[in-house]
Amino acid sequence: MSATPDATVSPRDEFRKKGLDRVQLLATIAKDASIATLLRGIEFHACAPGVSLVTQGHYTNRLWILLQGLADRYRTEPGTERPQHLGALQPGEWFGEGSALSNQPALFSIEAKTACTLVSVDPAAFKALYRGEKAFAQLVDERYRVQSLAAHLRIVPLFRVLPEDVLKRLQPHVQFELLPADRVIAEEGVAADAIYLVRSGAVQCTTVGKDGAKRILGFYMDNSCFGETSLAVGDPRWIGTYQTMAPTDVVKIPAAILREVAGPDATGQLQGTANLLARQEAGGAPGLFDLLKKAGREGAPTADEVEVMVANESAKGGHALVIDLARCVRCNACVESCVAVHADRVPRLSKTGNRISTQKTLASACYHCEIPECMMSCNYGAIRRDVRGTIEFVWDNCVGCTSCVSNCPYNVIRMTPPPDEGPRDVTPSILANLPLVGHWFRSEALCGSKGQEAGSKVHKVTGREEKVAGKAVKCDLCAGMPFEACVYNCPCSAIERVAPEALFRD
Amino acid sequence: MNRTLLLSIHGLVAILVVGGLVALALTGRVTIGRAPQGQRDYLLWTGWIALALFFAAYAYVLRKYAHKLGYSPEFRRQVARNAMDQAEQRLGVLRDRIAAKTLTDRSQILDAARAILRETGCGRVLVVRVANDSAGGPALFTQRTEPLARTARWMHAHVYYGLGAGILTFVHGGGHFSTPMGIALNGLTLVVVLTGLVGLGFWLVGPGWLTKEERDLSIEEAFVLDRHYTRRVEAEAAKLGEKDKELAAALMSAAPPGNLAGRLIAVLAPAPDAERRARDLLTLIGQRGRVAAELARLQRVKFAMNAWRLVHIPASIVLLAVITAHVLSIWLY
Repeated sequence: MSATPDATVSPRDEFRKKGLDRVQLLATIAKDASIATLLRGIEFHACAPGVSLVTQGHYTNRLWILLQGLADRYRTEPGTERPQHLGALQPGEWFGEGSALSNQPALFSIEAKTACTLVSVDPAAFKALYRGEKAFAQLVDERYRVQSLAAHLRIVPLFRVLPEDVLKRLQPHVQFELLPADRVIAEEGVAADAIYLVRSGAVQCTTVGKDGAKRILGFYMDNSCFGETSLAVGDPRWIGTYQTMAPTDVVKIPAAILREVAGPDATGQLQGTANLLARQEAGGAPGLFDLLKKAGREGAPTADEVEVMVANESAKGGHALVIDLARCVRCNACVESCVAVHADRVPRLSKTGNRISTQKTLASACYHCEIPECMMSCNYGAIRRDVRGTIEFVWDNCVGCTSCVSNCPYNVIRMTPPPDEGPRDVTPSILANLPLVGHWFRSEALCGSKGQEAGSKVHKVTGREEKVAGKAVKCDLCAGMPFEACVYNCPCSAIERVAPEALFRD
Repeated sequence: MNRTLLLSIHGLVAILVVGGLVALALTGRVTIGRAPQGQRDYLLWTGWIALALFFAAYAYVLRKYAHKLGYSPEFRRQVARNAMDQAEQRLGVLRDRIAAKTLTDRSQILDAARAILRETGCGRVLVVRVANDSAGGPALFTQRTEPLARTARWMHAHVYYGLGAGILTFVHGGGHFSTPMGIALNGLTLVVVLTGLVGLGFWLVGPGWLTKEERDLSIEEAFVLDRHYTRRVEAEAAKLGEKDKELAAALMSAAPPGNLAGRLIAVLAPAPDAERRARDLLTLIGQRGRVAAELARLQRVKFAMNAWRLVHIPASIVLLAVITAHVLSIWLY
């Protein structure tokens, strides 16, 4: 059941009327604007005993607050089979804050012990409250510290070796920091002294080469970690400058405290892993700029290709769809097969794209970027990275505001027709190739138009009216299918999905 | 040039099967053609094998359209996204164990990974394999099952088995054009094989030709731009149509007359920026004309690349009907 604010009463009255002021967490909200934000983003739920509210490993990007009843909390540790009962949640307690902040899969399973009433807060509203209400954020953080931190730290490879009691002892010393955009967290060359876990936002690591050019070493987003090498033997230094790219929440663990808490045995183990990571950082796999230099040494054509890709930002992509023009007979089987596997009949790729050489084109299909600008621009939590590393759209959350469409550097996101319009006719025809009359048989969608005329919808959190044009869709790598349709159905083996760097390895 | 065809296993199979049967005929051990000169067993073998090869060649078309129209049985193997996430999560835990060296035996790794896929129902869409990582240790990889194999492989089968079937039809019938069935079967086979060979030639060199012809715009880009400009001209023409229908029609024509500037300014005249708008509109029409000409040129190249299909496909359909009639007539009579 959805909670629609009543326009005739003030948000605070509405808040009281719904009894939300009696919930410990929500009672910390001080500003009226924050209450209005909350009311736009909440839903009430009722469930019977035994109902699974959240399953460990599944995604839930909402914050849940138990209003009435009891719920059991379970967790299955990696390597064990049986879930461990961690106690019951009482009315007023909450869960899901970690997932709402950093898109991580649920760390626990929660099951209703008795009949329960809950209120859930959508991720956009939760983030707005977390960033705008100090007391609210403090309470969330303190509970997170006690309930979830140990389990969350286990996602960092370095901490997997640590015994449970060490993680428990570490809990009080962990610092939560909410950093604004463009804040330098660590400077290159300075002694590395802490480990950082990025809960939300984005951090980039850069270094300046001898030629003065800035070189990006890496990006850190949801649940990625840096600074593990601060535990390495010797005098570990930051390999680059770490700077936030957007408002960022980090968990900071000072290395000295970790050493002290872990004791000599566990520290030895941690150092082993840290040394390994330090070695990898020092002489790891070549980055794009190494490849650029290599290509420059080996001949102009390849260097041109890399330059074009860098200029077009194609190098940011995780996996690009490359069409070999020396093989492609332009039969359109790739686009048609893409249409065939999607119920909305909207193709997820277009053969128009960046031509990176006389022989190869990067087709316009989602690159599943390392830094997904679409995800960073989405205010509705409708874009997330799944466990396989692919960027996926959560249709239920998409309001069709088209901000992802305009922020995608590759123009690969399309809008489906609004639901009442039904699917587009994209049936291809061999007659479309005929001269003079071919255009009668062509379907525009096969070449991928960008968007549609928009309607409007009110933003759930900001209350602003925004344009709506169906739902955003993009390549989902044929999720759940035993094939990737475009690659699978190309009769010429002309289309392949490759990491952009791999194009220059041969 | 697309050389993938040369590396196909289907080529080897077709050469061995067809080559063996043709070699028998060439070495004089059997006489090709119908009895009484020909040998009955050889006749039957070549007939059945040719039929099988024809079906293999036609299967390519069936597979292609089954997928395109959504009837492919592979579609039913789809698993829910949650199950995929769950499987990947559990495989992640397994990978951690491999990295921590608590699980090193390759067969045990494979068994554990397969069990995960089985339990989550993802075995239908994913297969696992264990290969060496950069340090030489075991590493777990997943890939799609691709149950029916890629269309490219079916295409190879289509080419080689189609060609083989054509040769065997000739061997089977002795190349006689003396009976209506002989004329129909041999003639149609000849047409299908020859047009197929032309198509094969275009398949090999056509992409390079078209790419060379795509000077500034690819055919897809030209198509998108053409649509974009046409839509804009249509919108402008609709506005002008209220005042001057003839002028609007002239704007929309494929080859607009050259004296539009004066008329456009006259129609737009009350507006203060009439001259600028007229100039913009003329530029738009000029751009549209150039893109349309480029698109038409590229489409002519593409049509030339595909013209063989206008004969190949109808001839193949008729050939299928004739083969069916031939087999049924032999079977029944």
